[in-house]
Amino acid sequence: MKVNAFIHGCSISLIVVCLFLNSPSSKAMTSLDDDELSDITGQALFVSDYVSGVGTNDGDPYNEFGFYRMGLDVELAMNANIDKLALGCGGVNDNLVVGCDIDFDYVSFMGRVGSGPGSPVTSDFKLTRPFVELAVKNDDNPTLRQIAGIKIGSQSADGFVSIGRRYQSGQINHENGGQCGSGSNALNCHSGINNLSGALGVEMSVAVPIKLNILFGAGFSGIACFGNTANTSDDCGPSEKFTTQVTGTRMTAVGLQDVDLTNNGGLFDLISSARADISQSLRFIHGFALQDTSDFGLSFQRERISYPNFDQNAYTQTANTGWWMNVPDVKVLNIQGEQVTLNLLDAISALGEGVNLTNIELNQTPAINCYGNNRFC
Amino acid sequence: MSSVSNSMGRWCCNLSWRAALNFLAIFTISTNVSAMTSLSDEALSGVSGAGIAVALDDFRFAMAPTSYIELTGSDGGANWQRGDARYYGLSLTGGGSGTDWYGDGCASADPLSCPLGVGTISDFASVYNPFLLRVFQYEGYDYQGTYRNQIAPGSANSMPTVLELIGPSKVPDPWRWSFLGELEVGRNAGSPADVGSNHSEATFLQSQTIIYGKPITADGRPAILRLLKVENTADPTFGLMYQSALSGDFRFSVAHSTDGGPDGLHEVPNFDDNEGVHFKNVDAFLPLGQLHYQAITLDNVAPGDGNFVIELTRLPGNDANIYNDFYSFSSDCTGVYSGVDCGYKRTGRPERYNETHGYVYWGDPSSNNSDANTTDGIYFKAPAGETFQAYARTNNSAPEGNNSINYSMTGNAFNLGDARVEGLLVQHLKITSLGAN
Repeated sequence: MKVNAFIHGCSISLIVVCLFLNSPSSKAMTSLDDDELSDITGQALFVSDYVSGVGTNDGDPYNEFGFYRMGLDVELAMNANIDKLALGCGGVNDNLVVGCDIDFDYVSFMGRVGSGPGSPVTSDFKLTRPFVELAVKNDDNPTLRQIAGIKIGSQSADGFVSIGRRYQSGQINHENGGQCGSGSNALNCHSGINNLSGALGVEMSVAVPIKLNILFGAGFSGIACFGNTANTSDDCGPSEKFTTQVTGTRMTAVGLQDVDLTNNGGLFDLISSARADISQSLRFIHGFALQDTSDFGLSFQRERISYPNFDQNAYTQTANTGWWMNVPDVKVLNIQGEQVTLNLLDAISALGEGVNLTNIELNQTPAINCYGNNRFC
Repeated sequence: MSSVSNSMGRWCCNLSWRAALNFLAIFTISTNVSAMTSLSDEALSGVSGAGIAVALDDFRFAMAPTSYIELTGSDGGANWQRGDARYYGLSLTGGGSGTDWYGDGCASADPLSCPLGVGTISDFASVYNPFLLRVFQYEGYDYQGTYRNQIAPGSANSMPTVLELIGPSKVPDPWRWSFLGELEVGRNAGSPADVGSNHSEATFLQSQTIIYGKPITADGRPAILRLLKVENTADPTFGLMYQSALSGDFRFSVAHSTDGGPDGLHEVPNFDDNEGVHFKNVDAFLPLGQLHYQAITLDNVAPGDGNFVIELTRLPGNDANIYNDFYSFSSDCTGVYSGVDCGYKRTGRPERYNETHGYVYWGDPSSNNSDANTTDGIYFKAPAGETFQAYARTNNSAPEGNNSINYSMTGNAFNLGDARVEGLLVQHLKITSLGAN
C-alpha cells in the first residue's frame, strides 16, 4: 500500500511518528527546552533567505528594501487551465490606462517539448522551490517599517504557458469583437492577452515574405527576417539571434523600432540597410515556453521595486505599481508572417525611417490542454 | 513537520462557549449490549443517515501571544538559508472591540485594525448548521469510467462510501482569525540568536496577519474534507479530497506602533493599526479532487530516501464520460462554440461546472475602484502621517515614435484594483519534497 510506504519513508518528515516507529528500545519521553528545539533542522521543508538592497549604491533607487524570501523545499508540478485571469483591474493604474494590469483569456499551464507545448493534460508545468518574497521598506526602523510588495517566484520554472483562442476566417470574435479576416482584420482572429504589465525578455525570430512592386505589378520577391529562424529559405539563422526587453504597465502590444532586416531575393538585396518598425498586438501571441528559467515571477507592489534575481547577483527590471509579471526568457520563435507588398515608395522608406509592420498574422495557435481534442476546458 | 510548544505556561488556550459542546449524535439505537464489530466497506455503505453533528455556540479560541507553533526549517542548498517560521498567538475570536497582542485596546470599527476580539463568535456552528462528520455515498464516475449509482453494496456500480467532515454552510457573523508571525532567516543551530535580539542584529521579520471572514464562499458553499479509498483498481490506496471555501477580508502588516514596544526576537511587538496590504471582499473556492475519479494521495519517492509525494492524481483520459463530467461544457454550443470549441462558451454552463472549477476573487469585480479606495479590492496603506509614491509607465509603441505615458501620485493609501481567477481547473498537481533526506 502506498500509505504504508509513505509512512515508512517519512523518517525525516514526520519526526514525531518516526520517533515511535524507529525507536530501537523503549525509552521514557523527555521534554525539549527551547535551545534543544532550535537544534532540530530539516523538518519543515521550509527554506528562506534575506537580501538587503539598502546601501548598495548601484544607482538603482528602487532596490532600497529588505527582501525576505520564504520558500518550500519541494518541486511543484501541475497541469491546470484558467478560464479568466484578470489582475489589477481598476484602481490607481487607471490613471495610466483604464483596464487591468494583467488580463488573459483561456490560460493553460502545461509541460513543454523544446520551445513548444507538451502533451495535453499529461505534461506538467514545474516550479522548483517556489517562494514568496516580501519587499519591506525601512526594514531597520520598526515604526517606519512597511510592506511594499509581494512577489511569487521560484528557483526554476519549466513548462509552457498557452493563452487565448484563435478564430477562423469569417467568425466573430466573442471576446474582443470584430470579424476574423486577413490584412487589417487579422487581429480579430485572436483573443488572449488583453493587457500585460511586466518585463519580458523576449527572443524573437520572424520571417516575412516581401513582394516589391516596381512598376505595373512587375517586381521582385524575397524574405525579410530577423532572429534565429528555422526556415532555410531566408538568410537568418543561429548567428542572427535577436533578443529584446519589453517593459511596461497595461501594455497591449509589443513595439520594436528600427529592427534591422536581413533580406534576400533580386532587387531587394540592394536594400542593404532596410529596417522595420514593428507593432504587434499581444493578442497574436498564444504562448511561451519557460526553459528552466530562474526568474519567472508574479508580483504586486505599491511603488516601484527592483526585486533581486534568484542568484542575488543582480536586480530584475524595476516593477511599476500594480501587478507585474517577470518573464526573463520568453521564446517567440519561427514566426511566419503573411506576405507584405511594398511599392517603390515603401522601399525607399525602408532605407530611411523603416517599414511599418503592424499586426502581422503570426500564425500562432493556442495549445490544446484537454482530452478529446477539446480546445479549452 | 510542525512542532508545538506546549509546556506549562507557554500554551494558554481560552476556550469558552455558552452551551459548551453540543453533540447531536444520531447513533443506531442498540437494545442489546454486544461487542463492537468492525464493518466492511459493503456493510459500512449500507449505513445511511448516520453521523455526528457538532454545534458550537459562543466560541472563542486564543493562544497566549508568547505561545507558538513553529515550522523548523532546512538549509535548502545554494542561495537558500535555513528558515524558521513561528505562528504566535493563534486566535479565533468574534467581531467588535478588542485588543492587540501587546495589550492595547482597539475599539476601532475596523476589525482589520484589531487582531483579538474580546467577544465570542455567537453562532460559530449553530445547531442548524453544525460541523458534520458522517459516512455517505455519492453517485459518480470512478477511475474506470463506471458510473456508480447503486445504493446496495456488492455490485460493480455500487456507490463508494466516503467519510466526510463538512463545515457550517450558514455563518451569520464573520470570524476573526489572527496570528503574529515571526520569520527567522539563517538561524545557525550552533549559535541561535538570543531572545530579544535587535532586529538589525538577527535577520528576522515579525508580522501581523488578520482575517475577518467566513469559512464559506459568498454563495454559501462550505469547506469539506473527505477521506476515501481511491476507486482506481490499479492503485486502490488511501485518498483525500478537500473543498476549500473562504470569504472575507485580509490584512498583512509589519509596522510597529509609535507607542513603543520591543523589536526583538521572540518578543511581543506593538503593531501599527493601519499599515499593511489589505484584501477586501475576497471570495475563494478551490475543489481538490472529484468523486470518484480524482483524489489526493500520499506516496514516497521511489528510492525511499525519505522524501515524499503529495499528489492530486491526474485526470484519467481513458473514458470520455469522466473528462466530460470534469469539463462540464455548456449545453448550448453552436456556431463558433460548436464541437471542440465548446469549452470557450462562458454562458449556459451546468451547475456541475462550478463544482469542478475553482475561483478566487480579490474584490468585487462589478465595482471599479478609485485610486484611494479602502473598501474593496487590494490596497496598500502606510502608517498614519507617512506617504509613498505610486508610479507606472506604459509603452504601447506605435510604429512611429515613442508612445510612452506615465503617472505619479503620492499618498497614504493606494488601491491596486480587483483581481480574479475564474474557471480554475486542476488536472494534475504533484508536490515532491526535495530536502527530507
